[in-house]
Amino acid sequence: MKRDRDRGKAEAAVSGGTASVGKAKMLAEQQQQPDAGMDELFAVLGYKVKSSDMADVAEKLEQLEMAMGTTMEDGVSVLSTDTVHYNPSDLSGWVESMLSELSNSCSFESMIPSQIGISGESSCSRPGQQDGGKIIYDDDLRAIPGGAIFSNNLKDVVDASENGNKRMRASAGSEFLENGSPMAMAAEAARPVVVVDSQETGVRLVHTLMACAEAVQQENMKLADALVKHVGILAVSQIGAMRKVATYFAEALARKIYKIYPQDSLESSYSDVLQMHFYETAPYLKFAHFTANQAILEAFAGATRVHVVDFSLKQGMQWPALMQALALRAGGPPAFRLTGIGPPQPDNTDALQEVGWKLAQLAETIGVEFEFRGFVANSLADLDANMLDIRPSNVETVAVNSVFELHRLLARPGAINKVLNSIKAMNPKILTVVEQEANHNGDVFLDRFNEALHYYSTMFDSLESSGLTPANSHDLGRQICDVVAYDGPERVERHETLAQWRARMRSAGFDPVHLGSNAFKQASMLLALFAGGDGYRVEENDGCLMLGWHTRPLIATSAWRLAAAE
Amino acid sequence: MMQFTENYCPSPLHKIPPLPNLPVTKNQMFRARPWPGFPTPKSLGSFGDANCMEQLLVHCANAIESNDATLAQQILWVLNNIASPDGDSNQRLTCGFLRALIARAAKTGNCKLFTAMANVHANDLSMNNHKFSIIELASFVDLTPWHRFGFTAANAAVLEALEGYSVVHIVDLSLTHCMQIPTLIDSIATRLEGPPLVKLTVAGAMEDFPPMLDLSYEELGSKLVNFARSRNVVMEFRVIPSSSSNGFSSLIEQLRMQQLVRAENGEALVINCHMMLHYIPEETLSSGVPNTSSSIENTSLRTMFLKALRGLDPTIVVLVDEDADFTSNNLVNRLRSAYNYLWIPYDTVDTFLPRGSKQRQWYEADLCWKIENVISHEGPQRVERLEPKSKWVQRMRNASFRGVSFSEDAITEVRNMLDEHAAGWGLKKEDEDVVLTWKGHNVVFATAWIPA
Repeated sequence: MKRDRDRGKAEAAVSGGTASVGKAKMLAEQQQQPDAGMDELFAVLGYKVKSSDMADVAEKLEQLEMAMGTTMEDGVSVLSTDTVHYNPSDLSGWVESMLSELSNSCSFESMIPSQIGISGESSCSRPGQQDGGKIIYDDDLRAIPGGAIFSNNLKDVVDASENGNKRMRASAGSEFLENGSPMAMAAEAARPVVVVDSQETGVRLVHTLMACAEAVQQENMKLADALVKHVGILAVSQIGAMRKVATYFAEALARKIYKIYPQDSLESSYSDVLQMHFYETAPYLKFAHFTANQAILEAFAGATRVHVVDFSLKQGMQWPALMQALALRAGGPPAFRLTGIGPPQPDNTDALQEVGWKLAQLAETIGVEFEFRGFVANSLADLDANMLDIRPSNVETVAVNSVFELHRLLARPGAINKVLNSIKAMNPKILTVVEQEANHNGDVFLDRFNEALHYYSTMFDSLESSGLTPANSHDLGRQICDVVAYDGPERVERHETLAQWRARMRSAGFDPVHLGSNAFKQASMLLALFAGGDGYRVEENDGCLMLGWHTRPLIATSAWRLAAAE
Repeated sequence: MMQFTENYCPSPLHKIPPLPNLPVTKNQMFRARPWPGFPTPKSLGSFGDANCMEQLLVHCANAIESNDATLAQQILWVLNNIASPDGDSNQRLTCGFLRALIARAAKTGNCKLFTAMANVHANDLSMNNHKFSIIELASFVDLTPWHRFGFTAANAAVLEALEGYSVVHIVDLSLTHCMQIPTLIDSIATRLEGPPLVKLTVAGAMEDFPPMLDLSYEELGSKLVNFARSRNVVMEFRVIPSSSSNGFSSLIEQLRMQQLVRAENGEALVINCHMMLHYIPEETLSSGVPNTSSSIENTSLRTMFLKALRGLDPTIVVLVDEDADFTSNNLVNRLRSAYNYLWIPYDTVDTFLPRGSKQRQWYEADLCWKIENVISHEGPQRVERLEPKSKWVQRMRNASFRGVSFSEDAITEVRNMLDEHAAGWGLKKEDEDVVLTWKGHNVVFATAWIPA
C-alpha cells in the first residue's frame, strides 16, 4: 500500500497492465519513508499506513460499497454471477470496468482508481513469499500477512458460513474487498464506521485470527492479546457456523495467550451423551461405523467364532447393526465376542459393563451367542495383547476397531508404536481405522492453527446444513481448544492425514485392505438418503473411503492386515 | 483395570448450559434408541429367517415414515448385506422390498440423489422391464399356473355360456394381452358346433404395467385373427383405447352404444377380466367422481365400473385376480400384506426357471416393478391395488351379479392343467369359486357371474 507521494509510480506501474510489483520492491520503497503516524495495528499486518490516509480511503470504499449496494438492490448483481478471474496486479483496471458496468450513479469514478491503484499494488504480493520474517503459509490456506489476496480456499472459509446475498462473489471482487478491509478496519479505529456487510467482517475476522496466531507464534503476546480481543468484537457480527468457529478459535487462542488451562474435566458420561447426539445429527460417526462395519463383516465371512476389539466402546452404537447383519447372514451367525475399551468414569460407574449388558440383551433377541469384556484404561498404551485373552486364530477371527482413537497416542512418545505392536500381537484378520483427515500435529503452531481453522470451518459449515446443535459444536470446540491451546502430552487431538497414517501403518508392518465397491456404494447411498445437506461427498481414495464436505475430505476410513511374511 | 494418573481430554472453556434437546440421563437416551426387537428365530420354525427379514423391513418402513434417519440407515445397511439379489428366494424377495424402500426414502427424504441410488443399483436399474414378443409372452405365460389357472377356469365357464349363440362378443380385459384367447378359440373351434362369429374387443393399453408388449395391439389383433382363421373361426378384432385409471370409461361408452345392435342380433356378451380390474382406483384413492345418488357414499371408479358392466346385461362375466390386499393406506400394513403374498412367486420360480436364465430375469424384474409400485408410490401412481376375493365377491353382489359355479368338467380341466406343473400347486373350491394355491396358500381366485 502506497502513500500519496508514491501514487505516481503506482499508477504507472498499474496502468502497465501486467506489472506485478513485488513485495520486496514495495518494502524497499516503504523503508525509504519515515514511519510517522503509522497505524500500529496494521504495521503488524504488513501495511505501513497512515491512519489519516486510511480514513480517506475507507470513505471512498464506503461510497463504492453503497454504489454497488444500490446496484444489487436493482436486481442487477453483476459481480455475484461473474467468476472471471482478474490479474490481481490489474486491480484498478478491474475496478474501472466494474464501475463502468454499474449505472451512472457512480459519481466518484475519477477518484477511486488512484486509490485502488495504491491498494492494488500491495495486493500484488504473492502468497507464500517470505520477506523479513513473515511466515510462509501452507499451500492450502493462502493468506499473506496483511491478507491482500486470498485463495479461493480461504474465501470459502468465510463464504461457507454465509448464505444469502453477497455483494461480491467473483474472486477478484473479494480480493478487492479483502484488500480494502484492513483499511476500513483502521478507519474504524480512527473514526467510527458502521460496516454492514458481514462478509467483509467475516474476512477481517479470519484475517485477524490468523494475525493473532502469527503473533502467538512470534511470542508477541501483547499484540496477540489485542488481536484476540478484536476477534471478539468482530465475531459478534457473525452468525451461525462462522461465529462459532471464530469464538472457539478466539477462546483457544486466549487460553494459549494467558496460559489458562482449567482443571475441571467434562464428565465423561455427559460427553457420551453429547456423542450420541452428535451421532444422530451428523453423518460423520455413522459413516465411520458403516464403512468400518462393512470391512469387518466381509473379513468375518466364513468365520464361526469372531472377536471384535473396540478401542473406544463409548455407547457401543457401532455394534447392533453389525450383530444384526451377522445374525442373518447366510449360513447362520458366528459366536460374537466383543472387548470394549474405555476411559475411567469420574463417578466410578462401570459404563462399559452397562453397554456390554445391553448388547448382550440384543444378542439374545436376535439369536447370536455373545460374550463381552470391558477394559478401563486411560490410554490404549496401557494395555497389552495378552490381557485381552485373544484366542488362537484357528479358534477365533479377530477384528480391531479404532474410531478417532489412534491420534491420541501421538501425544506420548512411543505410545503409538507400542499400541501397533499390541495390535499385531492380537493377530487380527482386519484392523479398521477411522481418523480425521487433517494434519493438526505439525510442529509449528501457526501451521497447526491454519490447518485447524480451515478444517473446523468446513466441519462447522457442514453441520450447519444438517442442523448445528450445541452438542455438536461443543465437541468440536473442545477439539479446537486442544489443537490450539494445548501442547505436550495434554494435546491429544493430534490428527494426521490418511497419507501420514498410511506411511505409519506400512512401516509398522501392516498391509492395506481395500474397502470394496460395496462399501463405497452403501456409504454413498446411505449418505444420499439421509445426510440432510447436499454438500457431503463420499470419495474413494486408493482403497480407503473418505467423507467430506464439498471438496474437502474430513474423515477417512482405512482397513489393514498384518503384512504378509516374506 | 488399569489406572494411570494422566490427564485426558481437556475441558471446554465454559460451563455447558443444559442442552434443551437432550433427555435427562444418558440411560434414557440409550433406551430411546434400542435396536428394534423381534421374535427369536427358534420360535419361528423354518420361516425364521424370512420372518426376521420381514420384521427388519417393517422396522425400516416405520423408521422412514417417522423420519428416523439413524435407525433407517442402520437397518438399510443390515438389509443391504443380508438381502443379496442373487441369494435364495427369501433374500431376493427382501432385496426387492429393500430397493422399494430405498426408492421411497429417496422421494420423501431430503435427498437429491437418484444418482446415488443409480450408482448403488446400477446393474439392477438396467433391468428395465422386458418388452415381450408374442412368442416370448405366450411361452412365458405357459410356464406356470399363475395365469393358466384363470385361463382354464374362465374358458370352461365361457364355453358353457356360449352354447347356442351364433355371434359372440368377447371383451378381454387381461393383463396378459390376450394370451388367453388362443386356447379359447381352440375350444370354441373344437367344441361348439358351427362355431360362432367371434368379435374380440380389447382396451388398448394406455398405461404400462408389466408384462409389456413390444408390438402394437393392431399387430397383435391381426395375429389373433389369423390364428382364429386357421381354426376356421371367423374373428373380428377391435381396440378401444381406454384406461384403467378412469375405470375404462371409453370402453364402457362404446359397449353401451353397441347394446342396441346386440339386442337385435342375439349376441352373447362375455366380459373376461383377468387381473386387470385391480388397476381401477378404489375407495382409498378418492377419484373425485361425483355421486349422484347419495352424497354420503364414497363411490369409486371400481364400483362404477362394475355397475356399468351390469348395465350392459352381459351373458357372463369372469373375474380372475390375485388374492391379496394391497389397498391399505398405511405403509407398514401394505408392506406386510405384500411381503406375505409376494414370497409366493419368488418361491415358485425355482420350479420352472433356472437361475441366470433371461426369462427368470424378466420374471423377477416384473415382480420388482410390482413391489416398487406398492411400496414406494402413493396416490394415482400406486396402481397395484389388489383386493382379496371376499371383497370382489361383495362388490359383484352389490352390483347385482350372481355367482355361478364352475362345472365339474371345468374343475377337472384345471386339475389336469395343474398336473403339468410342480407338486406345490393345488386347487380348492370355496363356494362357487375356485382358488389356485401354492403350498396351501391362496394365490389366484376365479369367479364367474351372471346378472342377478
